[in-house]
Amino acid sequence: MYPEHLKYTKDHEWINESASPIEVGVTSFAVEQLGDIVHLDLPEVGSEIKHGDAFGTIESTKTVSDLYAPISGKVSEINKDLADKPEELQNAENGKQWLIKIASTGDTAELLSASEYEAYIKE
Amino acid sequence: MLPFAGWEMPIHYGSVLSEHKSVRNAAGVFDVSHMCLFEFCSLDLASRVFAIDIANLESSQARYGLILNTTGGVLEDCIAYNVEGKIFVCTNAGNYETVLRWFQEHADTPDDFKDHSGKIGIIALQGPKTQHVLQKAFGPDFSQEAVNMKFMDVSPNLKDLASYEGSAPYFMARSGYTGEQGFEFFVPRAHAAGTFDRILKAGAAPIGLGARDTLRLEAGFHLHGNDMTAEQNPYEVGLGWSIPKSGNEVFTARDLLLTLDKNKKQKKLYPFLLEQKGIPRAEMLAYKLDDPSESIGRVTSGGFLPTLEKGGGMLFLNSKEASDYLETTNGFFNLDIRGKFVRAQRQKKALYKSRANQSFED
Repeated sequence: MYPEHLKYTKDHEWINESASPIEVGVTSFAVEQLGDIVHLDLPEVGSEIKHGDAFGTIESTKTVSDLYAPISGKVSEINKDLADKPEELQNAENGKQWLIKIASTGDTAELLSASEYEAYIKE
Repeated sequence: MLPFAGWEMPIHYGSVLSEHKSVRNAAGVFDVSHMCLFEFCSLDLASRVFAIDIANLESSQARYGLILNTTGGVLEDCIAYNVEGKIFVCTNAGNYETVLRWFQEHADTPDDFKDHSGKIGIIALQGPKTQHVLQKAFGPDFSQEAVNMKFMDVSPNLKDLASYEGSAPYFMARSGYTGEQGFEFFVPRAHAAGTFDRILKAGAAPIGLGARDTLRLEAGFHLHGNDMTAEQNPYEVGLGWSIPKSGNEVFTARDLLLTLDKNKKQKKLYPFLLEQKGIPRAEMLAYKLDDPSESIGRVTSGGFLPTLEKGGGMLFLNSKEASDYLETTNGFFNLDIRGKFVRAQRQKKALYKSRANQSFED
């Protein structure tokens, strides 16, 4: 469920460092907690984001949550198809539906391995 | 699950969106046993505490109306039912204590009214496939009798609905909070779960609080505490139509409302839709298109509206000037969504045209 090649944050984002530029998404655990996703607010391409800061929001029928950047860098692409159809996140596997791609500066937040993340969400 | 007024309520049984669509396209069942039910033994008390012409509420009829405080503010909305001469009134759970106190203050004796709240089950079945579900759940005779009822009709005849001999406070009404055809069943508490299960097994989807809110919001139904409060009069929030024009009613705030200044009767609550993507939420502020300095109103209820596939809700304008301004912009204004201005448009009609009063087709 949580692929080994991804890393995860305690804010429930995943990053795929093997992709270039690096892909950032939101975990299936977070999506499940939020319920029906109805809106995604993503940053402009070219904007600089800093790890730990909010780079956008994700809204469900119940609530709105900030999306936190796992790494610092420049946003090189946003997933427009997903922003148009945020419900596609509902049953997306971790690592499949990225939100943004980032040209990383190398600074990262505290990243967890798949097993660490799974242990974290069970707490 | 969400703690609500002392009850544990499901926000959803899986998905707010699919539950919403079930009610619009097929049928959904709601357990709304948390709502309050009062019985009025004194017609005089009922005539004083409700802004409803109770004396002229005919047998087997239900009517929507308000409870107004002495200054004409909206304490609560409710539906009054005449069940074979007995008057019942259903109110929200959130205002239970306020409403109870209001009745007690105006009652001459403790026997003037009875409180059935929490002692009965209230199950709602709503949606265009209501008739089919009823037939499957309770048989053709019951279903036929039920679908012959018109919108806001009341019937004490529940004898086929469950294996009990029903009598008041047990009844059903063609009423609801969704903008669809449907019924509300007031049953003995011991039969609430059974009634719910039979309707569920007959094909209705279970509906939680989340979809209940999006359904009522699309249909333009008010939620007390959000879209109307004790600080607002019925005209401001667009409920002036519910105030009886004539009859024997003697409700407390009547004289005050009749002499209310015209400016204070100005309607200020309207539905709105976002033009751009985004989700409006309660308390977000509205601004003029060209002037971000001073807000002209605020969102009282908002969310993603599944049938319209847009963000929308209800907007309370600060003043008549704000309403006049919107006339000059074809209703357009900016909504501040967490620091970002999103274009929205005030609407003059309900966002979803209610089908509640349509007759059932075979």
